[in-house]
Amino acid sequence: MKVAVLRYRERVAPRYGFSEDALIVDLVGNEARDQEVIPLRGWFPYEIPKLLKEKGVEVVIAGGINGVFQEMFRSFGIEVVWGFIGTPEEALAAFSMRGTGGWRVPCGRRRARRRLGQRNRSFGKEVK
Amino acid sequence: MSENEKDMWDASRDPRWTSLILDSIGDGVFTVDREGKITSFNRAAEEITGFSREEAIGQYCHEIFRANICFEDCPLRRTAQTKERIVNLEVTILSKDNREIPISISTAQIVDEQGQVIGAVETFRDLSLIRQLQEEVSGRYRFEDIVSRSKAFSRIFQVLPDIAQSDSTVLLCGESGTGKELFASAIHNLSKRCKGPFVKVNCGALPETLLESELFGYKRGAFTGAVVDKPGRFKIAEGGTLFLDEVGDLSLGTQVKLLRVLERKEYEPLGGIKTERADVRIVAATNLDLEELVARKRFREDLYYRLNVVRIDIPPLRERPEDIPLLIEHFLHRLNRKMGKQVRRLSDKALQILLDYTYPGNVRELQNILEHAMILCKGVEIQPRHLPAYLTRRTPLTSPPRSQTLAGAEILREKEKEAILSVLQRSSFRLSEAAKDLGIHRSTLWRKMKRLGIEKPRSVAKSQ
Ligand SMILES: Nc1ncnc2c1ncn2[C@@H]1O[C@H](COP(=O)(O)OP(=O)(O)OP(=O)(O)O)[C@@H](O)[C@H]1O
Ligand SMILES: [Mg+2]
Repeated sequence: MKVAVLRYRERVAPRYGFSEDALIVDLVGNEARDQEVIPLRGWFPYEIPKLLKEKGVEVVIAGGINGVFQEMFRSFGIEVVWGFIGTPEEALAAFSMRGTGGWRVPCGRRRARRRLGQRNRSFGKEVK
Repeated sequence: MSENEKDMWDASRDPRWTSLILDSIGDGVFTVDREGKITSFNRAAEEITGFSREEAIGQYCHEIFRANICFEDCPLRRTAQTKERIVNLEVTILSKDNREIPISISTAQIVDEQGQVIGAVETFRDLSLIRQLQEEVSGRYRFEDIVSRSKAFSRIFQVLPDIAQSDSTVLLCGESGTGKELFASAIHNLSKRCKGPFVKVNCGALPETLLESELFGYKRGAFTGAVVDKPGRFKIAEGGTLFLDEVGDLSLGTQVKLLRVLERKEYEPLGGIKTERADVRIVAATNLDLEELVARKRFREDLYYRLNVVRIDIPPLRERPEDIPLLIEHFLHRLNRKMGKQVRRLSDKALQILLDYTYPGNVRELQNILEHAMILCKGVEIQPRHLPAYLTRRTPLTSPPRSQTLAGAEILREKEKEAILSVLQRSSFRLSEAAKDLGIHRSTLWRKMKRLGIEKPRSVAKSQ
């Protein structure tokens, strides 16, 4: 399956419209093959779905992405999986485990849990 | 300083106190270290961005905050490096759930006791409400304001940017309240003319002669009372987009004049001797069936072809029920902000009622229904009793035996008829009132009634 990770400075792009490039891999199991990077600078956000479709991309991994753009990807038959924070490798690893429930959560999850403990001890903060 | 004061607990030095204060203020506040990683994140920051403190702390600020400026010229880095403070800079962030939120930010350096820069602090204020009000006043919408997940819309979304970028005339067709005006402004905002004006003319609202002077303007002395030059909408829209709403209502005379402008790209103001160039992009809209009007010789065929260069058909809401939950969420959000409410959801029953309804007034009617419900709803959940009575009262009409022989279109037609009838009955057939409830024009309602064969009962016809 061809998966594209939208990147900004070598990390998953936090915001779709500011993606610098796309790392396209062929994901077989949890192994990423045939890496290719295509620059996205200079493309309008609404031209990118078509561009990636032509590359045979089936899934796009993103950080934040406006619903309208998600809809555009879908209209090209490309699935959008969003909400990642971290490196493309972390995102791909999390994505390849999908179905196990780990993929919709930002990659910062492990750290988040640890902090949760701290919060309960901290002063004055009620748990909502 | 007296002995007494010295012994006193110094609140400003107690970190617990500081975090309490930070959490009680309405502005978002967060701090970063020298690497740009978030070190604190107050409660308002959580509410505005949608990220919890646990998710945010330790992350790079641009990955949580996701403001457009983060990727161009990070204000925090600028402040940390140059000591320059930024005050009330307006940017938009992308919240955790992918909404674009306009905010204004201010930044300052954080310096330790030795004078070393150890990071920066940013405060920010949510401008959504202000922007929303401004938008409502200026009547502008962005592409992002069009909410839909239906197939038909995604096809439109796919071509909309290209359509917008070209300078071709666009014809928007759709029933009342389907969002024609929303699309017209989206096309303008996505076009090369977006910096220019977006000017709307309602072709159905004015009598012929007034409309012409409104469109083309007049020169001093063109007629008694014309004491100064008056620029027409074509002039006002120069360099921008002219939105001709309800073009189906144009008189045949005005149609000729409009056709000439579209063909020659120039026009003469009333009483003027010089022709003026019309540098405008035309977007036209109608809720009438223009082909039918052409067939009945009520609309000029040549003008129809001039307008129908690119055509966008916006399907009525009842043909895309998958949009109803999405629109509900969108409007709850908007109305919560506008009305200062905290309504979060609809009860299952209330939602079912809204899903079953056919919306003759389309999206505008749904919006009116929700506004009505939110006024009545005091809690966080909308119940059936908060909905307008015409939705919940089961008239004998609402449960006809679902005949298997009715084709899909006919079922829809029947449902629409039912819905309109029940609103009419509730308002004792006062058309203006019923039209308002449905969120459509009185004339549109009248046309719909004719199309669906609904007539005023004799007993109420007299009292009108
Ligand atoms: N897809 C949508 N997403 C969000 N809001 C919508 C959508 N469609 C319509 N609306 C809202 O519904 C209301 C009616 O839309 P609009 O005025 O554009 O309809 P219209 O087709 O021009 O109707 P009319 O023919 O009665 O003038 C507006 O408040 C608009 O913001
Ligand atoms: Mg309109």
